[in-house]
Amino acid sequence: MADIVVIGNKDIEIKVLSKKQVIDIYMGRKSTFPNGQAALPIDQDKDSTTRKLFYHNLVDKTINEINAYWARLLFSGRAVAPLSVKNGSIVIDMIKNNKSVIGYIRLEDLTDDVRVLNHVD
Amino acid sequence: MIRRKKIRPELIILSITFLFSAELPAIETTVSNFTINGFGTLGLIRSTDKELGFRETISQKSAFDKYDFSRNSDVGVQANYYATDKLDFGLQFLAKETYKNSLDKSIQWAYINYKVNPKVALRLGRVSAGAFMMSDYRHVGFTHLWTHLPTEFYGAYPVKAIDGMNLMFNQSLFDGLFSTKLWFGRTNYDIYGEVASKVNLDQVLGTSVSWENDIWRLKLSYSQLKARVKNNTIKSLEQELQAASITGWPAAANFTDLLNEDSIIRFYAAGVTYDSSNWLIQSELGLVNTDSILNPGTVSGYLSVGRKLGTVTPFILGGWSKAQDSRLIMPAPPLIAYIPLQQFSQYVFNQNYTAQNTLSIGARWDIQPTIALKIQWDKTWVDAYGNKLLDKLSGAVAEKRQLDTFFITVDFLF
Repeated sequence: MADIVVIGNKDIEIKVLSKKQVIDIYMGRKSTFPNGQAALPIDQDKDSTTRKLFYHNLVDKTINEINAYWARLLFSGRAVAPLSVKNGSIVIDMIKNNKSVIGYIRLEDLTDDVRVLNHVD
Repeated sequence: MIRRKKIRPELIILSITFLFSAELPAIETTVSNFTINGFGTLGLIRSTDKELGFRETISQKSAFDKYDFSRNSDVGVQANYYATDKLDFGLQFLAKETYKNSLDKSIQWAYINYKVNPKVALRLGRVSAGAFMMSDYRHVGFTHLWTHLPTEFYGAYPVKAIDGMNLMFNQSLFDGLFSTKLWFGRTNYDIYGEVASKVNLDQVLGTSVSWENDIWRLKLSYSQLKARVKNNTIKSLEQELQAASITGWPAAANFTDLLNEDSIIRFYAAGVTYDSSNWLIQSELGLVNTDSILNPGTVSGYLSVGRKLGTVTPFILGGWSKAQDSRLIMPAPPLIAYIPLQQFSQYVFNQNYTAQNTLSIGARWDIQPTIALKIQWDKTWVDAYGNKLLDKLSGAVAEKRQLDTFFITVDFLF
């Protein structure tokens, strides 16, 4: 099974995130990093295997369960689902250009342009 | 004289949906301060009883023993605008078949949300009342297992939003999120039936506390409100009973108090959800206390157990609702001349009695990431006269009854 890593901008103060901190951000419970800086999570494409693996490893949920979860939050006005982008390259590009953005990619797609904040396994 | 056709709000909403749906991606959106998302259900119902018919809430008519595509179908569209990190706006429309539908009723949310800080938010406008676990998303079929919410629990009070305000507070607690909410406002709904009424709810005041992590959700809530039932038939009946109490039936005065159009209603509710990789179990209990025969107090609840088997989750669901007090029986009047009045009074009292249980068996199949197909069979047992939650062809049914209702739905997000 492919390793999934959570990545952020290289210039942010945060060096590492715990699994719980990643869950809090990706499940809409927190909108900031532990230091109070805004955190903007992004998802990969809804049909992406990477996305499926990420949520399976993170919270042991299927994509349908995640979609139902976000529908519950969105349509009750509580929160908005993470922004979605096509693939890992775009995730890296967005993170390079915005310190608030946090995303996930396969370990094999990792480059030196970003910082690994957590291994999700 | 030219008669103009009233524009049906459902058509407006469907038009907006089709206008945007071709351009919209699925639930996810690209970077934007303005987002539009939607949900919907296409549902088929088939009941088997000619006199008692299933309905999701008391604000609906039933199709009784005909195949019906409209009553369990809906479509909703929600727009959000995030002006700044602290200020955002929300607007949600819902197209659904209900009694005396209107554009105003179609607006589910219309609010300004201000984040005082990351933990506290104040919302003004048409906002959530949120008394029960699923109140805020009761129309979003994709969010739950069943083809419809448990009628015994959600059917008697078809209210989701109030015009007013709410204050929300969130705080991390253990490995989850603790939330509290306060709300205050007003709203109204219509009851369809032999004694159709409009119910105005004023001074709606409530609070809830909840905690959730990836597996558990817990919620407790309390709310109270002042209800006023507007119905000319009841008003006339009250006046007739008052007059009778003076002219030869003194005991009739006891019943005019019970027909009080104003009543204070208090809701107590508790709910729990367990959602693991193999099981989805959910239960709620509710207690409603009132001082009016027109809105009698009830004890209600449900328990649902679902077993996850890949993309299919079969489930079993039990719901129950029972009036706290026995059905009110009006004694025989002292004079024969008052018998018609006594019979009509009893007829009105009978419309508001609840004693109903339902056992449901069904399954949900997640056929696509944003599409779910569901089937469900409800077996409902109703005590004599205990059919307030059901639609009735001609008044409350005087004997115990069992009825079967079958559902097929497709729930989707867009």
